[in-house]
Amino acid sequence: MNKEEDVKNLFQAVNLGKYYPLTRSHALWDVSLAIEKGEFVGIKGPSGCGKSTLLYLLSGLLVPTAGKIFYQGKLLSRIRDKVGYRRRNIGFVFQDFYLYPGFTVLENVLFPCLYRGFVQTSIRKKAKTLLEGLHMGHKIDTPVQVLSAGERQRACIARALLNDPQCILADEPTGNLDSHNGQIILEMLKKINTQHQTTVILVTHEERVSTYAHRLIHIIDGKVQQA
Amino acid sequence: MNIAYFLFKDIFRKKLRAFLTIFGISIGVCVCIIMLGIGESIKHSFKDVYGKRQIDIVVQENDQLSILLSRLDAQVARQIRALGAVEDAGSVLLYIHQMNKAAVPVFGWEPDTFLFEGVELIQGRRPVAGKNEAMVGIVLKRVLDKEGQTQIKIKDQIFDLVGVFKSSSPFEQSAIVMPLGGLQDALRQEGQASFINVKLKSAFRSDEAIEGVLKEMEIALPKVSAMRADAFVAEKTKFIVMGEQFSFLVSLITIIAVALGLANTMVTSSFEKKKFLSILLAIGWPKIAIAVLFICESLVVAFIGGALGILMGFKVTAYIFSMTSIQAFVPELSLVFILKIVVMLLTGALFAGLVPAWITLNSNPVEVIRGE
Repeated sequence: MNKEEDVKNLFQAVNLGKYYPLTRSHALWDVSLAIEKGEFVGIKGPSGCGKSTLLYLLSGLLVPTAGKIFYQGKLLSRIRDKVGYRRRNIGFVFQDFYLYPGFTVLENVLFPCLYRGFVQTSIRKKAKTLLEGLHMGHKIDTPVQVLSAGERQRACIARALLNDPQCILADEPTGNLDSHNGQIILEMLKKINTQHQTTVILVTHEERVSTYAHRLIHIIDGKVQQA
Repeated sequence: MNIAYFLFKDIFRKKLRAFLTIFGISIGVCVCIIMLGIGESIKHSFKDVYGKRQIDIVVQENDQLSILLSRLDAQVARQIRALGAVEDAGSVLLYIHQMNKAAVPVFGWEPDTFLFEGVELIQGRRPVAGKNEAMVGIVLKRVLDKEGQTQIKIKDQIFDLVGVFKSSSPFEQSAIVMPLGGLQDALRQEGQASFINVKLKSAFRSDEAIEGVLKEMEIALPKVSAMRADAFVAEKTKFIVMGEQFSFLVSLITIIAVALGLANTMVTSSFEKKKFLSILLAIGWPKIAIAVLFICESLVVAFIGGALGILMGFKVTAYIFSMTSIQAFVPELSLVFILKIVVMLLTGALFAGLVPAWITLNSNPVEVIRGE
């Protein structure tokens, strides 16, 4: 790769493959793609086609069985501290929210920083600001289990943004939401992308994602069909 | 928010489970305290007889193992008092009297010796030598009051109870004390004593000086056996030490059971939190932080349960002592004793926390998130 591409691309996958030996299945075959900094990319495809596997490979949670991934020009497999890489650069938004019941919205948003043993006041203030920006300011002390699905997903987005990530990996974030709330979440992700130049990679079945994404990547049977 | 806040909130998120786990640990620790505490308290109480009276040397019959069977000439005390290093020496005759199926120690103390200084007279007066008089410990007095007894019959002789005393020794708290001559007459053992307690002058209380006095006694009094008071106590409490070892083993088994119960709760909790923990790993928590989280949770639960168990244990032990014939004993809060239990419990808790930590460290977060 040349230096110009290094600056431009956040991720670059070259001949990427992922084979699951337990199920003896190839989730991804020879996938090559590049995602630029500040891009909003939609990844579409039928269930089981390898969309989520691609996200987990980019995050370093999974290791490819073939090919290479570059993050800002650096070979991802050479980054030893994958945990630190995720913490500094990646924000996750999941379909099933994965908020921790019994704790408030604010506490859930603060979890990414709690691994140090404590949360600084400045981070607490930042979390509040993020929640206010997502129209959740009035819910910060509400236990997450009493929130609506749309509110839960907004709390998840705030959690994903707490560490100022370069990129948000959203795995079907509208999958458990009604059409109205789904649209709100997509608009919020678009706003984050536009305002903060945060790269958003969004895995979805939704047709309307094309309205928000700069481009769509279609994956079928583990192969990129159209990018 | 800090990790301690998170841990407490997380533990008490499931209130019933937290309560049952902590209660289970408390019961386990309580059992350990009772098992170890009773032996410990009796041993300490026995030591107090000698320690608090500053008895340095005990003299008894040569080659006699049983303190009850030991007999020597009470006049030996006079010879001992003549030694330059000795501040005072008092002959003691010990007899175990059966009273309403309970064993009551009866002491015959040589009058005008330091032996009487070890008790505090709280009612009446000291018994006078030559009269059939005795005084009783406060615990025995309570028992006698219930039966309205003001006299006591030992063998064929009747003794008037003229005083009540308090002592730091539980043995004495439930004992009868009278002048030596009175008990010798009652037992028809004129001039005899079971043993002689010797108190040395302060200048001779170092280990080396005591050894020197013992050698001097060995030469001057070849027919009796003199030994250091602490060695004497250790020998006489051998049976308690054996009981203690057994109690320790039972306590260890109890703590293992408690640890297994806690491990079970922790594993169940880890399965419940599996997805959440995987998310923490995905959003940048190091695996070691998750492991520490489990270990801390386990230690916090064990600490709360242990603290309650220790309190409960001492209360229950005190209650048991007050309800039985060993009511004179007071359970003691010895630091070493509590440390033993705490170390056993925390080791168990560490193991209980390591099990789910190991499970989590070996799980694949992606598989968990995707529900595989």
